[in-house]
Order: sequence, then structure tokens, then C-alpha cells
Amino acid sequence: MGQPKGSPVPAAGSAPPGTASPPAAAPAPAAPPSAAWLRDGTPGRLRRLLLLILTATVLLWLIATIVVQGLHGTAATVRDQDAPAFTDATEAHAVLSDADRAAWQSFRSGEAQLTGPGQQYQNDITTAGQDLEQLAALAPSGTAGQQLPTISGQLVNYQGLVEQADAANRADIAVGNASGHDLGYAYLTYSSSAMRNPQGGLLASISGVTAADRQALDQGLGSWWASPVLLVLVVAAAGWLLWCILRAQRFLLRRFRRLVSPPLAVAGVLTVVLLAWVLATAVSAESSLGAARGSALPALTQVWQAQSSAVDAQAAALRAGKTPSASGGLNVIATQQASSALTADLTSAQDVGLLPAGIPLLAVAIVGLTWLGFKLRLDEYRG
Amino acid sequence: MPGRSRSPRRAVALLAACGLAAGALAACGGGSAGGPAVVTVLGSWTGDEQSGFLAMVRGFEHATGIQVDYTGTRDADAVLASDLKDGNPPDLAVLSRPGELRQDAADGTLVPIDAALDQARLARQYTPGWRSLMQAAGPSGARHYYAIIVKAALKSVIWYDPRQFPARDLSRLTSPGLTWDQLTGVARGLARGGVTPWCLGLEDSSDSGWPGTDWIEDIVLHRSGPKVYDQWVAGTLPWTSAPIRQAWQAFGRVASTRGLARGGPAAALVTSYAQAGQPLFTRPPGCYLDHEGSFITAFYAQDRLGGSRHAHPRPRTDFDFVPFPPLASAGKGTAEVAGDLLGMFRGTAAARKLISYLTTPAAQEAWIRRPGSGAISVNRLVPLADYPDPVSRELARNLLGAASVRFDASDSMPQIMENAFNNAVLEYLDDPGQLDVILGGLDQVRQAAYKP
Repeated sequence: MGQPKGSPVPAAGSAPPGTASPPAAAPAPAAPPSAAWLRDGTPGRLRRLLLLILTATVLLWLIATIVVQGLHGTAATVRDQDAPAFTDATEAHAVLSDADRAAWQSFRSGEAQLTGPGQQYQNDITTAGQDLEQLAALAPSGTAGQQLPTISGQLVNYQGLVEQADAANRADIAVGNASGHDLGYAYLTYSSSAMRNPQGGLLASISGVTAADRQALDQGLGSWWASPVLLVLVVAAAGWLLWCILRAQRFLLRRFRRLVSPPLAVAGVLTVVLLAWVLATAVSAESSLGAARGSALPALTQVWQAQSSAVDAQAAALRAGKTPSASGGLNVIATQQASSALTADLTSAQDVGLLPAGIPLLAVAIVGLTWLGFKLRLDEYRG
Repeated sequence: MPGRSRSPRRAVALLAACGLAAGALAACGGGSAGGPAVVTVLGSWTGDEQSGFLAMVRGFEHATGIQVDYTGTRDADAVLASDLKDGNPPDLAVLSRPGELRQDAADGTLVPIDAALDQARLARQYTPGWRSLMQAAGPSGARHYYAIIVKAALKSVIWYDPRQFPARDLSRLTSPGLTWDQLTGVARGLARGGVTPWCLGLEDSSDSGWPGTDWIEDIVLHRSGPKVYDQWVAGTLPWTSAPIRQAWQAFGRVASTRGLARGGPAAALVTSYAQAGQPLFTRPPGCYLDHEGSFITAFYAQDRLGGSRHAHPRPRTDFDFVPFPPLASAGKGTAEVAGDLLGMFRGTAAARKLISYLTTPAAQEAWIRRPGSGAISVNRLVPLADYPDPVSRELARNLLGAASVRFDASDSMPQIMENAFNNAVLEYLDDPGQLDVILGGLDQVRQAAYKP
């Protein structure tokens, strides 16, 4: 330790480092002035190391930003577009099936004489109309967008047939038709057929939209942005940056006898913090998307399917003139609970906190600290 | 140390690789724009008919790379009306009624297709009568081609199962000079024997009632002849006139007389036209005679034979037909037909190409060759040998060879008249005693519908 702390130490068997004068008899070939600052002795080596660390930092910044923004964007699309489109289409399907059931119940019970197809029918039609409007706003193009005008026309047609059933039923009652209100029930049968015909009926058209929306939702939830493989890239970039910092520390130790450069050490710690933050956020988001995919969505689908099946069975029984084994139509609370669970998972997946701001801040800090660490050494070669 | 001195270069290489990877990651978020041209088609063909149309356009898609996006629903008329109201019609739509074609052409809703058609070729392949059906007057009054006939159907047809029809009556039914009186005599004989002669179903979603209008139209045509039929279609013959009233009453005697129609009027109202004929093939049959257009063979071919899960009725063996018999000499040699017209609502280049393709014999053959399709081509260059079975060949021969062919009357009337006719049939079956009120109501609609 006979030299001042931080002063250059020639490596054993090597030429004097840095700006030590080369032998006058053997001048080095003239280098292009633009690259000389990178090549000349220890300062050049320091500058190369600095450039390497800065490059690795920028790369980490880029990759971390792309991964986090990709994940956030995917989760946001799923939460704000794919999931609502699927739930709107599914709900429209269920409430229209319930509208058919409610109309039949009103006719069979005799309420239709005073109330027509009934209040529940009206509520279901209103809900279906709102769902279709929201669908149109969410998916102006694609399968759903193409099908919606058709569905809209079919819905108007269905409502027209129910109105005809109501009118015919009242007319039959008014004239005391002994045939048993056949025409009113006939029109109601036509309305059910228009709705439930598996080949091109209203519900079949909505099922087409539901299937397309479900496919989009599954693709979103299974997006490769939510794949752990992408995190390997982040780990690799952070690992490379750490390796560069360690290499710089080692060089400083050899050339300058400095055990630790504090700015570089802090830069290394910030790199680890950045990596841990990105990993924790990404793993949490992926976990939430996984929960939505593996649990909340199947549960929601199951609730809707169970309710639709029950409503379909009740409607079929009423059409056949039988008393349904259960009544009451849709259980709105159960579907809302199932839908809330899915929304909660997707909201959690979308929440990346302050990370989008934290990544550039930490990257700038790493760059600044690295520059500071190297500047102290490079300054020793000036003047 | 060489290794140490090269490490920054390696780092730069690694950086480049990572940069490429990051770029690729970012790029993967985007999608490709553009794609193949698409023709949207709306029609009432579903099930096997939809498959027939898709088979028809497959060759076009392969040859041109243009994609045909077909939407099939039994409520196509209502959907088209809604699409037009929203200003978002499909490129092409199937119109089952010349009345609708004339109305949409006059409104300027339909786009003329003259430019899409080789008219010399069309003249060689289609008779003047069929070509006339493809034309209409546009908003300026000038006549143009506005549609093509994709396929046609013979409607004056009565179906039966040759294997199950009572042998003592079969020879009377199939005798060349079969008359209406003989046919009704056979039916009454079957009823007296304790079985139901007629299958009947009027349900077809929002178009319910048309199977009954077909009955009445056939009776008018085969009783009063083409001249009276044309006056009626043109709106110059009142519904309350004797020929029309008597046709309704004749239909009522079949549909409402106890024991003549399966299930009676209440069952006929809610039985689908597509399923009405299924009891022909049960053991024993639920009914023995079915008045349906030639398209019904597509449904028969999917029915179960004798309750079997795998066996389906086969033409000639399990179902065959006799022409609707004349009720009077004026109705001899006549036949009622129908056709599916395809009109253009958005004049894209791809839509014009598809229109042109669909008139060719190759396209027409792709549909009619499908076993059980029930489709008949009116293109004269399509040989009878291309039909897949003797029954469909016979149907095509009857359609193309009839001395006096008339298009379906209700399809030819203005739309509000047609809708009123459909609903009137349903009301008549519900309460036959209201016939005077019903016909009077139809005349009121007539005065509004035919107003110049």
C-alpha cells in the first residue's frame, strides 16, 4: 500500500497502464481519433467497461419495460374487453332464454290476459338489449361485430312474434274461442322456435358470438405475455448487468487496489432490487391470470350453464303444458358473485403498481451511479 | 489476455441478440392488416340447405381466393329488413319472393347486376320466363337484372311412402289421370279405415302459415287455371270472389275435418313444416300423404326410417310423389314453382364475381348433385343425368316440362299481402267459422298493398 489509494497499479509483466508514455522508438500506429478514447490503455478500458454497463442497463430497462407493459396490456385487454364481451354475450343468451320461459309462464298461468308476456319478460328483454349494446361497443369488428346486426334483427323478430301471441291470445279470450286459445299459443310456439332453433335461431346466433368471445378470452388468459419464459429474459438481462458490474469491480480491484467501489456496489444492489420487483409483480400478475383461467372463469361458466339449463328445462316444461320442477328463472345473485370473482382476479393481474415508473427511475439511478464510479477513476488520469 | 480483450465485443453481440429478441417481443403485439376479399351472404338456408350452398361456393373460393361468409337463419327476411334499416346490409341476400325483389329494386335498395352477367350466356342457359323473374324495374323505371335464381322447387307435389301406402289405394293414387276427387276419395277411405291420411304442419318461425298458403294456391291454380291465378296475384281478383273462397273452403275441408289431418288444426298450427312429414316413415305411419315442395326431400333424407337410428328414407323406395291433381279442366297441366333469388345489396367486385359464378352449370351442379338436397336447377345446360336419384330427376323433368308454370302466389304478392295471407291461414285454422271476416280483412289489405 505504498502508493496513494486509488492510484493505478501496473499489472505484473505488463506495460504501464493508462497514459504512461509509450517508448518513443516504437510509436503505436495512429488510431482514428474517434475510437482512440476507447482503446488507449487503462482509461480506454475503463470507458469500455462503463459503456458495457450502460448498455446492459439500457437493455434491462427495455426488456423489463416490454415484459411489464405487455403483461399489463394483456391483463387490461382481458379485463376491459375480452371478459366483459364474453359475460355480456353469455348473459344475453341466458336472459333471452329466460324471456322465453317467462312469456310461457305468463300464458300458462293466465296472467297474460292482463299483463301480456309479463314483467319478467320485459326485464329480460331490456337486459338483453343492454348486453347487446355493450357488446357492440366492445367489439365493433370481428365475429361478434358481424353477427350483432343479425342478432338485433332476430331479437326484433322474436319480440314481434310474442306481441302477436299476446294479441291473438287476447282476441281468443275476447271472442270466447272454445278451441283453447290455440292461435295465441301457436304464435308463442313460433317465437320459441325463432329463439331456440338450433340452426340459425336467435340463441344459436348468440352462441356463435359467445364462442368467439370465449376463444378471445382464452387466448388473452393464455397469452405468452403471461408466460414465465419471458421472465427468463429479464433475469438474463439483469444477470448480465450484474456480471458487468462485478467485472468492473474486479478490474478496479486489480488496477486501483479498491476492494469496493461504493457507487458500483449500490448500482448492483439497485439491479437486484429492480429484478426482484419485476419478478414479484410479474409472478403475481401471472398468478392472478392463472386463477382467472383455472378457477374464476370455469366457475362463472358453470354457473351460467347451470342456470341456462334450468331455465331451458323450465321453458320446455311450460311449452309442453307441464308444471316445471323448479321455477323462478335466473339467480342473478349467483351470477353476479361468480362474475365479481373473475373481475377481481383480472383487476389484480392488471395492477402492476408503480413498477412502470420504477423501472426507468432505477435504471437512471444505476446509470448515474455507474458513471460516478467510473468518473472518479477516470479523473485520476486527467491533468 | 485475449479473452478479456474480446469480452466487450461479445457483449455487443449479445446486446444485438437481446435487442433483436426485444424487438421481436414488441413486434409480436401487432397483427397483420388486410386479408382475402370477403363476400357476406345472408339467407334462409340452414342445415342441409346451408351445406348445399357452401358446397356450391367452395369451387369459387378455391378458384378466386375470395371468402364467402354465409349467415343462415330462418328469419332471414326479418334480419335483412333490420340490416337495411341500420344501413348495414350484407353484400348478397337470398330473396324467396319476387315481390320482395320488385320492391327492393324500385326502392333502389338493390344494386343492378347486369354488368356481372354474360347476357348472351344467360339467354342460352335460362328460359325467358326464368330470366324475367330475375329482372325488375329500378327507381327510374328501367328494367335490369337484379337477382339470379340459385335453385328452384316444384311445389305442386304430394308425397307418399310407396312401401307403406295401402296397396288397394296405391294404384288409384299413382294413376296418370289422378283427379282431386279421386285423391280426396283415397284420403277419406283411409280415414274411414281408422288412419289419418294427411300430414300437416304450418310452423316456420316468423314465416309460419306458408304451407297453408301453398295448399290454397295449388287449389286455385288447379281448379280455376292460370288466368284466374294471375288476376289474384296481381290484386285484381278479390279474396272474397268465388274461386278464392272455394279454394279456402277446400283447404279447410282437408285441414279442419276431424280425422283427415294428423292431430287436427291445433297440432297443425304448432307442427313444423319440416317435421310434418316424419310420420310417413314411422311403423305404422302416422299419416300417409304430405303436400310439400320438392325441397322437403332434404328433410326426408334426414328422418328416421321406422324409428331406426341409422336408416333414413331413400327416394323412390321410401318416398315418392304424385303431381297435385287438377280440380277442373282449367287446372290441367299447370304447376306451381318457387325459387330462391340472390340479390346484391352492396356492389363490390367480389360480390359480382360470385353472382356470375353461381349462374354457371358447374356451380348449379355442385348443389343438385348432393343426394337428398331437393334442389332443382333451372339452368338448361344442367343435364337431368346429374341429379342423384330418379325422384329428383323426375321432379326436375316435371318442373322444366310443365305446360303452364306459375310462381308461388304469396311470394309474388307485395310483402304486406303475403304476411297477411300467412297470418290469415293461421287464423282460419284456429277458427274456420271466421272465413268471411278473414277474407274481408284480406281484401282491405289488398286495397292498401296494391295501391300504385
